[in-house]
Amino acid sequence: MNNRLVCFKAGAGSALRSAVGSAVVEVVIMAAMLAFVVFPVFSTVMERYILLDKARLIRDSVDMTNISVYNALNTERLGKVSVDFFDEKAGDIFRELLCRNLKLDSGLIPRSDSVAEAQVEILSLTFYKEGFPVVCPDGSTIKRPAVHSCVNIPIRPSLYRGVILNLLGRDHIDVIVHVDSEIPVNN
Amino acid sequence: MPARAVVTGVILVIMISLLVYFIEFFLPLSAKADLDIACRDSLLRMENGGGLDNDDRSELQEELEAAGFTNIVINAAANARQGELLTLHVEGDYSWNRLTDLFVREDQVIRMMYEKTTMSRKVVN
Repeated sequence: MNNRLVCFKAGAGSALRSAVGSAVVEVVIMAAMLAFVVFPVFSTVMERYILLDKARLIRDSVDMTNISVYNALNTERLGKVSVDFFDEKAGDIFRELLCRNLKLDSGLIPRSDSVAEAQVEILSLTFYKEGFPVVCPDGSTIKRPAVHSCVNIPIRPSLYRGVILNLLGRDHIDVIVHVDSEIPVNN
Repeated sequence: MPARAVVTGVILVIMISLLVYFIEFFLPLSAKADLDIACRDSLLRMENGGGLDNDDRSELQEELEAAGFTNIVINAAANARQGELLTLHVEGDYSWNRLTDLFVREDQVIRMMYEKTTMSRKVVN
């Protein structure tokens, strides 16, 4: 009788130890999943979403800027069914509107509320007036009068900024936005 | 065995709460994208029409209200000649109910803003 009681107690203790051990293992596995799977995956998805959102914002700004170049059309030539731009005026309009829409100063240096984190660079700005179809420097085919612009906007990541920039060995990430906008010549 | 079931249950609850917490981070970002898209459409119409008329203003207001914005402020010129700058400035409060703690949900409000400038191309006003 005593032997059977001892055996029962030993069996119950072993089962309890096993249950407690398994619960601890589950908690450890959950903590590991959180630390090594859930948080990194969430951070990556969130960071990517924010970067894409910033890129969309910049693309919209550059597109609105491109379209404003309409005001540099040579209207006299337009009346003779020929599209021509006053190139200097077009360049000035582009620069002014880019500064306003991306919140930059006249030297293309970002103000405090700008999406850019360092000096913005206009890599290319071309006005296509004739000889269509033409291929822009970034490979898009243009079939109508259009403005091609390519702008480099340095931005920084939002989450784990220091870690990502250290890994890349850079101060910022260069977002190169290329936009071709057709000019509505007949309103 | 009941101990294991309890632990599994607690872990599941925590994981689901975390998942909900993470997903709800995207709600204001999505609302900002909606605001930007609606305002961009209005700005393109402004550029073409030489300003934001009352119909367009009401349409923008309704669109933003439908997207969940309140206290909307819209500032834009109603009339501009060709070559004049047109700025659309829109602000609104976006409120959403989010998980702030395990089993605790609270209303959060964030002020969002859109400001872009274009140049009027309407020749005759």
